[in-house]
Amino acid sequence: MIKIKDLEKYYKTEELQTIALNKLSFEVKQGEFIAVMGPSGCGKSTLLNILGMLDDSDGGSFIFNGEEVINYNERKRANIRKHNIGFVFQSFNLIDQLTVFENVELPLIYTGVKKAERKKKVHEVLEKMQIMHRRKHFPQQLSGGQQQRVAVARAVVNDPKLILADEPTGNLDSSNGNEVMELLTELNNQGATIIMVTHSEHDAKYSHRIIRMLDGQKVTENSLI
Amino acid sequence: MLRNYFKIALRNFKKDKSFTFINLLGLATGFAITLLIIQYVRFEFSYENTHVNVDRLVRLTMDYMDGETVTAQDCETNPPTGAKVLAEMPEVENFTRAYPIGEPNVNVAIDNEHFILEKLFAVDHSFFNMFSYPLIYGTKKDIFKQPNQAVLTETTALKYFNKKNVVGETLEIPFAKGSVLLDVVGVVADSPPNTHLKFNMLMSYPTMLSDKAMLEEYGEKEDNWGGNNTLTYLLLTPNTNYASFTSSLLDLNKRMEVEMNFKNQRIIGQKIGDIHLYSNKTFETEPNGKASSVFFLLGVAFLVIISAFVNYINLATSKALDRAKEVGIRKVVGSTKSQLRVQFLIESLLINFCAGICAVLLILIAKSKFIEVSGLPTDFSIFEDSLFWLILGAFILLGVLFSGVYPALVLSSFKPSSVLKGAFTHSTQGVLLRKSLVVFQFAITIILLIQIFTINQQLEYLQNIDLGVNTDQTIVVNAPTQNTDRQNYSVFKQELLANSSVSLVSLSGAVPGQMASQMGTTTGINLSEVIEDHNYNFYLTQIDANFITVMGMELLEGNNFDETSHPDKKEVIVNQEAIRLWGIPEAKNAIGKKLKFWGSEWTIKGVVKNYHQESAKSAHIPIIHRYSDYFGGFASIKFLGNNPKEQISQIEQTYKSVFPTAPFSYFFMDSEYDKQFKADKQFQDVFTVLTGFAILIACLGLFGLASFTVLKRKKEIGIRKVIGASVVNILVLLSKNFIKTVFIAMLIGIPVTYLLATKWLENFAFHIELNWWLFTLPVILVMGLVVFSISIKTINAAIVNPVESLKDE
Repeated sequence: MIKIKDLEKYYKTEELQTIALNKLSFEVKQGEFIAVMGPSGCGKSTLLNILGMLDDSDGGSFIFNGEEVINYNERKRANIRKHNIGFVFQSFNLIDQLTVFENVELPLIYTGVKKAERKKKVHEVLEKMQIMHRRKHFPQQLSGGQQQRVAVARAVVNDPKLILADEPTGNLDSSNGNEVMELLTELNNQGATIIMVTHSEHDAKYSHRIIRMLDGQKVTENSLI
Repeated sequence: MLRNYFKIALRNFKKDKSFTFINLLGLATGFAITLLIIQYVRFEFSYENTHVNVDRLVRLTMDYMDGETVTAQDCETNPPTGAKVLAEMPEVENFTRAYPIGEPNVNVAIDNEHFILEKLFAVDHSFFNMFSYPLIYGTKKDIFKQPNQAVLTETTALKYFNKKNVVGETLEIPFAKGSVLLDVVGVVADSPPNTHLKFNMLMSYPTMLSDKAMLEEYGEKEDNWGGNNTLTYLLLTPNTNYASFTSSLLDLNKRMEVEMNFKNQRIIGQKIGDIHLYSNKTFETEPNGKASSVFFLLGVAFLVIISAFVNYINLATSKALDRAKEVGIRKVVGSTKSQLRVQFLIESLLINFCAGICAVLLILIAKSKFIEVSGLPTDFSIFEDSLFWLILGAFILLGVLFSGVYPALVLSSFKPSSVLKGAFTHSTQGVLLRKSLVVFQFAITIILLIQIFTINQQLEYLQNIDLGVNTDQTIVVNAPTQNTDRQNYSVFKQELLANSSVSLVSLSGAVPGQMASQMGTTTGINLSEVIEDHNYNFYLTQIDANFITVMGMELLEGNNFDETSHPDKKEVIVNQEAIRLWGIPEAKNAIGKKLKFWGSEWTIKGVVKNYHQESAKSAHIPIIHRYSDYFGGFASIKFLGNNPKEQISQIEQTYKSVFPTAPFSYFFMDSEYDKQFKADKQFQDVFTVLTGFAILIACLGLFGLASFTVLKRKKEIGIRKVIGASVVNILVLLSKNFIKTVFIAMLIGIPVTYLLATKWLENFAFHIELNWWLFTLPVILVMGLVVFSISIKTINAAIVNPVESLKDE
């Protein structure tokens, strides 16, 4: 599903250039659950942003579903993103001014789904995430675990082929964290490909394969199945 | 999708109430002020538009020349001018004269009832074909071809006869030597407010030429090239090119100089549409406006609205930080840049639309006050004008474009990968633009403040200047119109002086404070001994022996008139400006010198110090005072004590007892001077209001920016407090950047305003010098405002326990 080769990314300031990704290559197959690990600043999040087409790379190749997307403009990338990719963040990133229902509904609006169908889909996913009773609340009225469940609901409401999770349990206590990991596993079992960046060895154990990174390069790759 | 945008926009407005309030108030006041000023400007530019032929109507005026120098510009022309121009120039289709009768007023008698009538003109038959004054009653055919005909406006008809259709009625106008009887042959609508030629009654021009009383009073003749006392208007043939008309008029002047010895004068054309804002000649029918003032106000109004837009841009981009996360999330879940732009534009549209509604409410509240302050006609309509709504619509759209596009562009271009990680601080391009906009806003504020200070100082200076006459405690009474009454002046004077509170009485043809046009003018008065004549324009008036004393003027050399003075002695008292024009260096050298004018030789008996005939706005004019003890103009009465009401009623009683049939009318001398400042005061008031709002809007923006600055640096403030900073330290830290901005604004604003103020002061013959404090005070004021707004917000933030502000992160 994803094939990256010699992917490069630099960050430049006036005085120095930092290499975030240094000729990184790997492949991810449809239905895999990958954990990316490594110390802070090793390039994990940069990688996730490029995979999610939120950021450009400075070199290399990125094939998504058989399409070379490295030179796509923002509009094309936004189009691929909204139909194929769901995101889950450490800090949930819900829009404070929108209710739970409206937050989850947002990706469907951008993909042009009709209103009645939107309502049906949002209700389904909220039921699945067991957050239906909170659908009229605003994010700040929810606990961290509930907020992350809403974020996951929003990530999956469009049935994305790929879910990118950036330290999804980072802001949660262990029981809420486990719940979220169970949710992701279940989604993976239903066919979604998941790439998760994490610091937690515990969480990484839910994955099929762990890629460890250092200084923008892949150090090891261990399969857990 | 749209619903979602509206929903989130409304929730955002609700969440940030102060932000919404500042934007709404700023934009609404900006819209309201600018709309009102535009309506005012449109009115000023609408003069004469009610006349269908406006583009073809031209007023002829006279330039008096001394060689190639123009010494006087006069609105009034000779009676044969129109006919001559019509005969000689194919570009001219028709002409009419309009002779102002009895300036400032005449007395109208209807069945023993007396009325004072202002604005009476004698006009030709063609007047009704050239100007758009359709007759409500009466017929246009042959109207005013005969003498002794009158046309009344509706209001005058109602006032005199209590009915509108007064065709067939007669009225009488008494003059010094007999009365004129007029038959009413028509009624027209009242003159519109936007014409320079407003009238209450018209009489047929042939009356001037054939009625005995009129001939006695005015001595007007059809072929009189000697005196110019009538206005002349032309109707050009359709499609005449104005430039070619002007050049043929120049040719005609040249021919007339050769053929008719029409020397030292030139007939000049003036489009009637240009009169109100561009003409400032002698004998204007009313004080005109000034195009430069109108454009100036328009300029300020636009600065006000731009200032409001600037606020919106500033606040919206400062708020970008808050909105960045939302932008990031929306992008992550699939929004494109253009969808985000539409979203922000919708927010801007909503705010601007609401501001438009608020602006209409504000205008509703302020309308009558604005009309009063700006001097617009009281029935001036604003909302009935479809153009008003169009302009409002255009403002809302402009507002969306100006204030919405930039934030939309900036916000939509945030990179989600950075903003969601919190790596985002603020976009540097936004900061630079915001700083420039703040500089711009401060510069405008400083410029306006300096201008308003200059205007106030100048007008105060003019009103306190030594006029050279003492206007206190002086009541001026109009002379009765009939000769039989006028001859009873000595009885009137005796009875007045019998009143112990009346100290002095004098007679004159004009009193200081009145427009100089109240006097007659004669060009080319020269000393007999001089060989090379000049063609300067002199003002002539008649005074009696008490005038100089009553007016408190200073006689520099020679003698005042006395009991032995007589008009036949041909003695004059002149002012300093007159002797300066004759090249006499000192007053004492002037005494006994001979002057030649009106076919006689006159002796200079005395020289008075220059005094301001008009207000101190105009330069001193050369004045020649002849002696007369005939009650033809005004009696000035100096009274003691401080009960003017009582004085007036006593004077009125005396007047009525001596002149029982003449209507009594009076004015206070100081009020005549004040009248001349009316236009300036209006300008000052409108400008003050405008400046006030401009500053209010700038303050709102400043306050908003200060809040965001403090909010953004909340954590920093916490850290600094933890390591020992005091509230004052923090205040200094936060104000520093703003103060720098004010300094840059000052560097831009001061030179601009110096030029503007100097230019404006050039309009005045007597003006203040620009002071250093005029420039420093506004800057200090603006700095004060900055420190004040920052202080309020900073102190709030600085007294919070730092633990609180650090925890937020």
